[in-house]
Amino acid sequence: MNATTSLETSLSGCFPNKHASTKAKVLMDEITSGRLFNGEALNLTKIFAQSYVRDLFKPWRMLKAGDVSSVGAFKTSAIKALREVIDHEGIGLFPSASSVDRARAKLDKYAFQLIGYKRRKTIYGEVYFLNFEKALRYLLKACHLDHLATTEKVKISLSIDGADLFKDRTHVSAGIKITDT
Amino acid sequence: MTKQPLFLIDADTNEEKIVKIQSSEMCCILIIADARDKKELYDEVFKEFYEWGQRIGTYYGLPASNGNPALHPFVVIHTTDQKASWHLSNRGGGCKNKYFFCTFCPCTKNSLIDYKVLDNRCIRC
Repeated sequence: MNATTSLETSLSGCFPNKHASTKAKVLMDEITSGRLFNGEALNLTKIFAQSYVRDLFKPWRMLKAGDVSSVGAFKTSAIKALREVIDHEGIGLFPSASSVDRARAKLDKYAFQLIGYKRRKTIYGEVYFLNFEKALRYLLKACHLDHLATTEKVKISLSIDGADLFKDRTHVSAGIKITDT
Repeated sequence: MTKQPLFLIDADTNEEKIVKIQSSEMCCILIIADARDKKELYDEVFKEFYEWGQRIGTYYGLPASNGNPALHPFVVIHTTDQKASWHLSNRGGGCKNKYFFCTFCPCTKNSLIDYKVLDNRCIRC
């Protein structure tokens, strides 16, 4: 008899004619009460929960949250707040800002290898050019339009705009956007 | 970026629809210039970008390269703000200073008082 069958048999013996959900609740109540196995069951549950949260808040997920959120919506201060306010006991549920930075550096390095860029010094300032063709091909692939683009015309838009970086410093960026629906 | 739906009208069929195309995951920056936003920058630095856009949009598409297949010519549209439109078209600005003060019509500053509403004048200037 395996552990699952033993547990189910014994709980069915204690609570005959009860639903599985009721028996499961009784079991969870016992585990979370800390009475079972001198609190070892509760300790293990906490470890599982922490592991789940850590897995959910992996550095690369935090990085993606920052990258795809609108400007200022999710930044380094949000990561710090998670650690200082939510995880105030310092259990280590959330990644540190430096581990997210390391993930960002890895992503940047990978993107440079994959797409590539060149830097050009102009009289207006430094200008970074990504490899247009590679970037467009990967963007089409990400949108699952790469096969369609070999047989049909795909709609894209080119855009350009300037904005402040910080006080008295501006930048101008140009890019493409898939507008094919 | 905002994830909010955008109202679009298909130019070919006049079909009206609301789509979610504001996702930042569908965009890619190709050029970043650490420079001031001025006309000369558009003319000299970003010229390459618009020429490439014209090439892939008009006849050529993307040729096969490094094992990647050739791609059909794209339908390329330019979504710029008014300032960029002025810079790129070399038209637009103050109607008493710029010769062609409108990016959409041939009105000139010298004939400013000749044009009247609905008379050889676009609805945007």
